[in-house]
This record gives sequence, structure tokens and C-alpha cells, in this order.
Amino acid sequence: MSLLNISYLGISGYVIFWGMFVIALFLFSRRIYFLYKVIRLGKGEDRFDRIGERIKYTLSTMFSQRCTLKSIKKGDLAGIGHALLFWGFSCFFISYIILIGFAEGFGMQFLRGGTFERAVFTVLDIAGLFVIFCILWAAVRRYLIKPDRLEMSFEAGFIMSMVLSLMVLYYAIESCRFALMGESSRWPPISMAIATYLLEKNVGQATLWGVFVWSWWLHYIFILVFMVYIPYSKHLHILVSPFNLMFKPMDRKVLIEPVSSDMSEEEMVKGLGISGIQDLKWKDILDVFACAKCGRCHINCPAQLSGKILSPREFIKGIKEHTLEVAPLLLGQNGDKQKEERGKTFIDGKVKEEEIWACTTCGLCQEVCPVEIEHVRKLIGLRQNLVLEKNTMPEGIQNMLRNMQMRGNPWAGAQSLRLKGDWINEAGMEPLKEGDGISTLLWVGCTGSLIDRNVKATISLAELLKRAGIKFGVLGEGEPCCGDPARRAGYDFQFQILAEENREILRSYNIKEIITSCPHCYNTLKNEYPLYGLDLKIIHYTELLCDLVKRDKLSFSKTTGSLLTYHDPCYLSRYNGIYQEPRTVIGRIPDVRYKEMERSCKETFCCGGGGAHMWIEEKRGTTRINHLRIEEVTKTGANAVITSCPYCLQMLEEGIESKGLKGVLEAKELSEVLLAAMEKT
Amino acid sequence: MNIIVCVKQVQDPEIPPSKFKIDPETKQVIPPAGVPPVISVYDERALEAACRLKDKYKAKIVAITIGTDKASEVIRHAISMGADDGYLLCDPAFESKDSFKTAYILSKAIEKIGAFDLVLCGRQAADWGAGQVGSILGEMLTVPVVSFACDIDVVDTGLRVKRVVSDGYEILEVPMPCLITVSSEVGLPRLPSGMRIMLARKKPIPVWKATDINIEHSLLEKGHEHTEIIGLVVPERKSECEIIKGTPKEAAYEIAERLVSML
Repeated sequence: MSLLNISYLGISGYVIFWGMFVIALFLFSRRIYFLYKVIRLGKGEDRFDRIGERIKYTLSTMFSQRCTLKSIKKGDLAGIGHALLFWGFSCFFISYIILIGFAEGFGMQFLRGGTFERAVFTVLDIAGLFVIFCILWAAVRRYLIKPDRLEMSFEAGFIMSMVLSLMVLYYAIESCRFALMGESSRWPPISMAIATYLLEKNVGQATLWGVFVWSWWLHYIFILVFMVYIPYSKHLHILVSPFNLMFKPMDRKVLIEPVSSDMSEEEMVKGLGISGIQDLKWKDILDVFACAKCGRCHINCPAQLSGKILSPREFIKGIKEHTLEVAPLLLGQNGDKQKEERGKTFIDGKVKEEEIWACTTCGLCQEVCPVEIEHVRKLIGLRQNLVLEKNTMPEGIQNMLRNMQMRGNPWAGAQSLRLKGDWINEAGMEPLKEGDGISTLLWVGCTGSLIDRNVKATISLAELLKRAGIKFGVLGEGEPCCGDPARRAGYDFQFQILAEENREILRSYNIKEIITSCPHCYNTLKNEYPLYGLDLKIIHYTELLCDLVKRDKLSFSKTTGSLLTYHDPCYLSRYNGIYQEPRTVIGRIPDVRYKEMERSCKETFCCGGGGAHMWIEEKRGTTRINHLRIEEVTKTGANAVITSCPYCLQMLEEGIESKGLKGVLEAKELSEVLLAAMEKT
Repeated sequence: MNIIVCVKQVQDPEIPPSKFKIDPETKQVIPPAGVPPVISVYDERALEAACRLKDKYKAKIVAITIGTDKASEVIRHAISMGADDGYLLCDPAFESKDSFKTAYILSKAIEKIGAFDLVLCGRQAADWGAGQVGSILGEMLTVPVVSFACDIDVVDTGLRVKRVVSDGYEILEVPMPCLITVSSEVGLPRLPSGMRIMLARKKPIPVWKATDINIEHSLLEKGHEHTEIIGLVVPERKSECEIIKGTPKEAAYEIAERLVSML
């Protein structure tokens, strides 16, 4: 019963079928080609390495729907809906190719009839139910429950009605067809049941035929409209997100693009950092097309939750809108127009300066994003442009950078009472001397050596290491800043100057292994210094302690008494996957009482101090991020919150103090808690 | 407009007291290890004032300093902030704490640089704090001097300068060429942009010796100083705290009386 063998107003069904298809395909391809050209506007970047691994990751993630299902453990069940919709609609997508494309379009009628067809329709019948269920659920959620992470849009409503119509039309076509054929069987269950019902009700053959023909063509048109509409709407993510998964950053979450310090003046004039779409990498542009505005980033972002202007979802949306607005002009042949558009930047257009500085670079947006969008490096790129080219930045950042430039650390000035090294004798440590044969360095970090509270933690750490029999040295006064705050603030040249200086210092002492106390130093030394020719073994102290307790080189004999919880520093857990180690060590404290926070490990919540935010005043009238975190700490009922980052420690302590919780709750560095749990030697 | 800015490299004013050491015998400050010297804060503000003029009008900025090889760092800092050129005046004969000698060396270097419209200095150096060099240099160059400026702008007759005085400020107009010493009220110095830092790193800094700037060596010899350091001590840090008892009203009267008696 092929509808294409019939002529309509004297035109063959095949002609109409293929004619419509060619038009739709043309519109679809034209858009896809345009988008491809837009993506190619971005700068080059090699994301084609380890291609096998990438493809494997993409397919397994996509078909298992791990990407959307990962949020259900936090009570966000929408992932289930997405997964069912994905699997269900995938079945339909395959059927469109086999049944409509091959069987009808190419007249390969042998695909119809028989068990194969029965099986296909049975699967579709059931899949259709899931799809309808999910669409209704999505409609209720979107229009009645209105979760924070979603924004109302015409697009979503249109696409949902489109999919729902396709399902309804499918049942209409199949039940009418079965009724016309007068078949009765149990399979496919739903269409057959409707067909039986229609026959029982004695619906006339002409009516059945009419409904069948109209539904079939309408169904076909809807499929074509759907196909064309996708690349014009946010549902582009259906096509783009698999590629976005494939081209994700492989080993590290945040790949900051260095601003080369070897640039010639002409190159510099072209611009530094990101100011327009031509400064983005192609993957950054792919990112904005992969975004489905699901808003998981929006509801998790510490800046957004504390009332700041930044929303990662809106940020990506802004870049997308800007890109689509500017790209046609950039792709045009007119050279002057291109120049004109060069000046049309994101900053203070689609993306506000305030947004750019609101990010703590905690990376939670990227952690929860189902399609591997890289928000942080775009924000840092924008900062690079603001700082290096436009010379505008918050006052706190300016002071920090000046201190770093003049004194080699971010803290000096009124905020530090002592300079590096003053406390070293107190801790019974000796600064390294050339030729003393020690190749393990304890990299203390600026905060751990300049801020009184953090110095205490450093002294505890040094004592712990000594008790475990580790032979190590410190650089003392000779230890410069690793450059992390400068890099996160976008002052990349300063970072590079420091990285190169540090490489020489570390080489001159013949260092082989570095123990870091600060996760920010850890991340910088481990992940960012290799580019500047320094590839040493870098370990965070929590990793080392974990190893020591496992080998029984370090043991604890006293219990702490208080209920403990552990706050994961973003740069340790999320950036570098170290969250089990500190927990293992805490677990070795005798009779320890420990309670986990709701957000922990890789999905930890920022203390508010990362991304150079130690030096940025939080906007007045907004909640402080560290106060939000302290509220989460108090929910556990813990008496002590342990962390292993100097910034986190300061932020948590400030939170405890301003919330009037002093005496009830204390913040401790892990090394302090462990030292207290040891017998005095 | 040709602007010359005189800058000085000084020991970091943020050196903690525990690290600040002097040698009373030679009457010298012993530079602490691990604390690099910095640009004198007032001179940095003079540079900022120069850069603001350059932002607004066409100007060429030249920075000069007297010091050891290390002092080329402050010239690089000046270039990274916006100076076009810079010279380091480095000669063992220049070693002196005498403001007249310093001003003399600077005046000779300025003569060599050539025509200028404006010379800017910090109101005083952040180390010795004498605040003499600017005025003496103006005298040697035979140009008018305005001290303690917090704002400089160009007018038809020359420059309009806002100058800080103890109970407010006064506005003066001065013809060019002239010399102005800049006070910290001018505002926070700019953070050098990345481009300028890289430019400054690559820029060669010419070094001028005494013979390069036609200095009469005899004038730099001992015995020509106008000042003499008699002694050098680290002041003893003492703080005393007394709590005045009584009701707030009584205590307030008491404090007021004591303050009045101190006047």
C-alpha cells in the first residue's frame, strides 16, 4: 500500500516526495554549511589527537545518556526524561530512514510486511509511548513547575509540539493502515488495539483512507520541517553535541590559552585575549552551538547562586547570539565591514565586564554540563583582553597584580606583616642551599608563607612531614609566586615571566620532586608549567599523606572528638581529581566522626576565593559565596570543617566569623587536624 | 610636549621592621636579602601624571634615574607604564646621599637630553624623604617650580597645576618649561598593560657615565656635599595605651582637655 504510486493532481507521489525532500535537504545543508563556516572563523586548535579514544567516549556517553543522567543523583530527574526521549526518538529516527526513506522513497517494499516490520512497529509503538510521556512530563515541568534552570522560549514549545504531533500522527497512520488491511494481531500492541477499536466502531473505509493519506503526508512534512528547524534553533544541540563531546579537553578541565609573550608589535595590535568571535577557538564556537540551554550550569554556578550578574547559561547564550549576528558580516567579502565588526566586541555588548569578573573559575559549570562546554577559558580569555589590552580591572586585582610585579607575590603590602621566610626558623626548617643534596621541595606558596593564619597550617604540615621521615627543603625567601592569581586574572604575561623565572630557580637547585601545600600552586606547577619547560613530579600534600598512611609511615593515636566534614577545594577535586586521598587520611584518625556535605568531591561548591577572587570585593548587596558554603557546612552539624587549601581556609574562617558561629564551628587545615591526632614525639 | 620624569629606585618601604637593618658605622642601610628594591612610590605617581598628560595630549616621556645596574628595572617599569625612552645614570662617582649632588647629576643629564617642556619629580623619595631634589633641580635648570601637584593640565599660557596644601589645595598657572613635583594625591598609578611590559623588556636602556654627560668630577668629590649625615639609628618602636575611665561623657571631656593641652 505505497502512497507514492498514486498521482496527486496529476503529479506522481514520488515526485512530490523527493521534491519536498530535496528542498528540505537544501535548506538544511545550507544552514549546516553556514554553521560550519562560522565555526571555521575560530582559531585553529588541535582536538583531533587520540581520535579513537574520543570516538569511544562520545558513543558510550551518548548512547548510555551518562551525560544527562549524571544529574539525577542530585534529585534532578529530568535526565531520565531526556534519556527516554533520546532512546525513544532514536528508534523513530532509524525507522524514518528504513521505512520512509528506503521502503517508500526507494520503493524497497521488501522491507515492509512480515516479521521484520512487525518487530519494528512493536518497538516504535512502545517507544512512542515513552516519547509522549516524556513530552507531557517536559511540558508540565516547563510550563507549570518552571524550574529555575529553564527559561521560557518559543523554540522549546514549538519543538515539543512538533515531536508530540509526530507521535500522534504515527499512531494515526499505523492504526488506520492496519484497519484498512483488516489485519488483527497482538503486535504491534497499541496501533493494533486502535485499529481493532476503529473496526469495531465500523469506521468507514473512505474515512480510514482519508485519515491515513493525510496523516502520512503531514507526518512526512513534519519530519522535513523538524529536520530544517533543528539547525536554526537551540535544538541544534542534537546535531552538534556529539561533536562537542568528541572534541572535549581530554586530560584537564580548563585549558587556558596562553597569550604568547613573543608576539611582535603588529601581532599585539591585532589584539590580546578574546574580544570578538575571531579571537575564539573553533571549539569555543562549537560550544555555543552545542548548548541546549538546559541550565544545569545556571543553577549550580556560585556566582549566580550568590546573586551576581553572571550566569554561565546566559553567558554562552550571549556569545551565540553575538556570533550569529556578526558572523554573516565577517563571512562577507567586504573588507571594511570586517574591520568594522572587529570593533564590535562581546565586552559591554553581549557580555558585561561585571560578568567576566564574577567568575571564580571553580569549574562547576563545566562539571555539570552534559555536553562538555568550556565556559571558564572563554571568561579568562575575556579577562586577558580587559587586563592586557584595555587595562580595566577591579581595583583589588590591580593592587594584587602590582604587588606581584613589584614584589613577586600577590599579598605584600598592608596585608602581610611578615615576609617570606620569617617563620622558617620557628618551624625548624632550613632553606635549601645549592649542593645539599635534597631534591624534594616543599613549595609553600605565597599564602602559606605570608598570611599568619596560613603560616600556622604550613608549620603543621612541615612538622607532619618531618615526623613521617620525609627529607625536604624549602626555598624560603627565594620562593616566588607560581603566578596562578595573575593567570586567572588574565595578566598572562606576568604569569609567563614568573613561570620562566621559576623554571630557572628550580633547575638551579636541581629539584626533582615538589610537594605543594596549595591546590592552586599544584594545578599551576603540574598542568601549566610543562608548557614552559618544567616537567617535574608534582604532588599535593594530601596525596603524599595518603600514601604515607597506607604504607604505615604515619599513624594517628588520638581521636578528634568533634564531628568533622571535609570541604573539597575546586582546584584539587574538580581540576585534578584528588578527593579520595584526603578522605582516606581522615578515615585513619581513631574513632573519627565524619559527615559528608551535600556537595562534595568533584561537585564541590566553591569557597569564593578561586580565580583571583581573593582580591576581588564581592559586589555589595549580594550574598557572599563563602557564607553559602558555611550554610552547607552547618547542615551537616559538624564542629570542624577541614580543607586543604589556604584560600578555602581563609574564606571558611571568614564565613564562620561573620555568621557568628565562632565557638560552634571551626575551620582547620587538614595538616593541623592530623598533627593534633598524633602523639607528641 | 617633551616630559622628563626623574625616578629613583629605593628599598621596599614594606620591609618588615624585623628585617630593616642599618650599619651605624658607615651610616648605611643594609639591603635585606630576598626583598627586591622598588620604584619610589612618589616617583611612580609622577610617572602616572606624565602618562595622563600623554593620554590627553601629544607627549614624549623620557625617564631618568641614578643608580646601580639594577636600577635599570625602574626605567623598564617607567617604559612599561608609558615612557617612550629611559636612561640610567650609572657611575661610581654618582654615589651620594646629597640632594645637591643628585640634582646636579640630573641637571646635566637633562641638558644632554635637550629641550624639554616639563620635568616631573616625586614630591620626595620614599627612602630618605628629604624632598629637596625637585626644587634644587628646578633652580639649576632655571625654570619655575611647583611642588606637591595633584593635578596637571595644559592651558594656553602653560600648565594649570592643582597643588596640595595643608588645609586644601591651590591652583596655579605656570609657563613652560617648568618643573613640578608630584604628590600622592594624584591617584593610583596605572598597571602596565601586557603589551607595554613586553615592549619594556625588549627595549635597550642606554647607560650614561659621568663623562657622557659632561660632569665636572671635582664637584662630585668629597667635601662638596651640602648635607652631612651625623648619625643613623632605627627608631625605637613604642606604643602606649591608656584607657580613660569614667562615663562616656566624662571620658570625652577628659580626652578633649588632653588634646587641647597638647596643641
